[in-house]
Amino acid sequence: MQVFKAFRKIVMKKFISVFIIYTALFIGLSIFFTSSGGTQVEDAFELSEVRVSVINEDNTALANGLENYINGIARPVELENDEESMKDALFFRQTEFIVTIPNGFQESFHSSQNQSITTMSVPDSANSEYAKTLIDRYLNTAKLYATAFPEISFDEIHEKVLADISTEVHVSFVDRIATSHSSELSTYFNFLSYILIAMFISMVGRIMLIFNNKEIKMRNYCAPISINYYNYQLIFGNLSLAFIVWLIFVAFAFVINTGSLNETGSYLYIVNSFVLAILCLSISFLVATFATKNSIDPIGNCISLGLSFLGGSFVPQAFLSDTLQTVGTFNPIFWYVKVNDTIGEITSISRSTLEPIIYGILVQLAFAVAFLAVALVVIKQRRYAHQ
Amino acid sequence: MIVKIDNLVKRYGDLIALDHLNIEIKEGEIFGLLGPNGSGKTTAINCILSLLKFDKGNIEIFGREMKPTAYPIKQDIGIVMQNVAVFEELTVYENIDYFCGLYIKDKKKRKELVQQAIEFVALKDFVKFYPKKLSGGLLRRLNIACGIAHKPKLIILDEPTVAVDPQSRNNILEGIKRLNEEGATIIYTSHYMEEIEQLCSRLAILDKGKVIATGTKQEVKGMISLGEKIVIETFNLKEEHIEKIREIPNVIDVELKENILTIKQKSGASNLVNITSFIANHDISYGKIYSELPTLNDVFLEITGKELRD
Repeated sequence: MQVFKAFRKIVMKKFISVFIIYTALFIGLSIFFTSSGGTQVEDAFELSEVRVSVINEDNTALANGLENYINGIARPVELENDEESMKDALFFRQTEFIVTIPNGFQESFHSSQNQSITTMSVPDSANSEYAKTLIDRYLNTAKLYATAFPEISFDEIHEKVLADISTEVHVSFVDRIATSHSSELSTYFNFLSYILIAMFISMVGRIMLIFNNKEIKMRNYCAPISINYYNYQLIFGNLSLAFIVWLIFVAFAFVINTGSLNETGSYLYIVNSFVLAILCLSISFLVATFATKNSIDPIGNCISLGLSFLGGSFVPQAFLSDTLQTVGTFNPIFWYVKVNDTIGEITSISRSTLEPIIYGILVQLAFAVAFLAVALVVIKQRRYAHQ
Repeated sequence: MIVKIDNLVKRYGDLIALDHLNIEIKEGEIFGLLGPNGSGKTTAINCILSLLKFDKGNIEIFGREMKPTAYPIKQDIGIVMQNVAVFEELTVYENIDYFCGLYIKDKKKRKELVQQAIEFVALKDFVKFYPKKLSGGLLRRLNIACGIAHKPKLIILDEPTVAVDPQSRNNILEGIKRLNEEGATIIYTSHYMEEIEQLCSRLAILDKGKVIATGTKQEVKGMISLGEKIVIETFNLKEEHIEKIREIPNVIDVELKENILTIKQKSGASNLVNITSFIANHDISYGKIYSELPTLNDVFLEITGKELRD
């Protein structure tokens, strides 16, 4: 086991620093994500207030009611009633939406030729469309009351409309495991893909470059050990390294998310990340066949960041464009993240819930085998070319 | 016979790197492979070590056929590659221990052998150094230690003194002599004829993948018509003198270059008395006169028509 021992010595001497750097980076980012509560899920919703200015020329009960309603749901911005000021305010984004209620608006509310309110907005603003919808909703409801009950005052109509449209619906996702740890684990394991690829290319790739050095290789082939035994020792060394690194990061996942080990899906995260470790190892093998001492770091960064970004390690896959999602099927990290997301959504373990997970894991394994096969073919071709 | 190379042919596409090579190396000798760069020395070594496949021929080492899987044969071979083959990430001691460990499994024995190798190449003060910190000469010595630590019966050294300072070169050559005295058979390749002359008991001269001369130094030198060379530093030599010297019996060639007159003689003939008499009779002033035996370069020059270092 002379080759394995040399492998171990080189790792201990030269790559502990790489491991510490990546671990510190990973721990730092994990803590940051956890403490900032940045659970990036595609169903997260946050109410935002639009900056709206109301020019009330009518000053009647209906106009005042509408103005109060708008100011209640939006962030009011006061403006002078002249066109120049309005255009400036929109241009400099002091306000996003300007509503002008014309004189005689209430009077003409019942007639067919009623004075309509005019609006100005920032071009292509989604928020202004949202504001228009809310104003329409108010006025439509008010008109309904005014038509049905002509005897009641506009003050009463305003009360009734407000009561109607301020009703809120609370939505909860019952199909989720709905535990606090699930999304955190998912985020952690998704991010792990970047760290494992970057770390393995940096460590395994560089070690393989050392052992693939032509002089060292030829010198080893002169010794009374078979090429297969030599390669087995290297593979064993790499697998040991990958296993230890993986084990540390998996253990860390359950240290920072205490109590999550017993949750449904936790073991599936572990299995999926183990397959990821094998996949990253085979990517590193492949990179080591064509990279050089100077190029391995830039190549490693491109591959790790590229695959992780396009695979959805940093942003939810739902936010990726359709094209990226289609292209993503050729990216093994995409499948890894997809499996993680699927694990995060399951409520119970059954054949139907496991099927997509197993499928995704098999796809990753297929990628791993393919990368390894290409690496072995390249190595063999080089050996023949040399002879 | 320790090594027997029989009719070896190695091609790289259309290029014939080794052209029906026949070499026999006896036990206990230092055998030199001499030839200019690209003559096929390293290719021959790589074929001997089964690092390269060859197209035709047969190689026997210790009386057995050499193959990539001939591990018992490899066990008794030490190799010092032309390019230094050590791990930059391991110290001097760890490197020697690693390469020795590929041959010797017993830890205690290995420790002793590693210590002996360190002492042999005089790297005792550098055992904890990393290769990057070593000078060119020390690095070459480390390379040798890695190759010989397991006490092999046959040691192959492929140009071990390339880019080494004269002091380290002498150290290395002395070390190789000691290894041979301890019983190892040595194959030494070089394009430095002085090293081969100094070190080897027998040699083969290679050119374009062919052995153009082989035998002991005397045998090889005896293959050419050139005998001794008389060299005179002279100051007032005229063209007519040169012509007259040419007419002296057994003189093959006369050449005057920057006041140095070189007179080449036929093999087996001595003309020193005749030449000195001629100089005295013609009042030719001179600084020094000496005679030289033909060198391996002369052999190479006569056979191939070019210098060894061309």
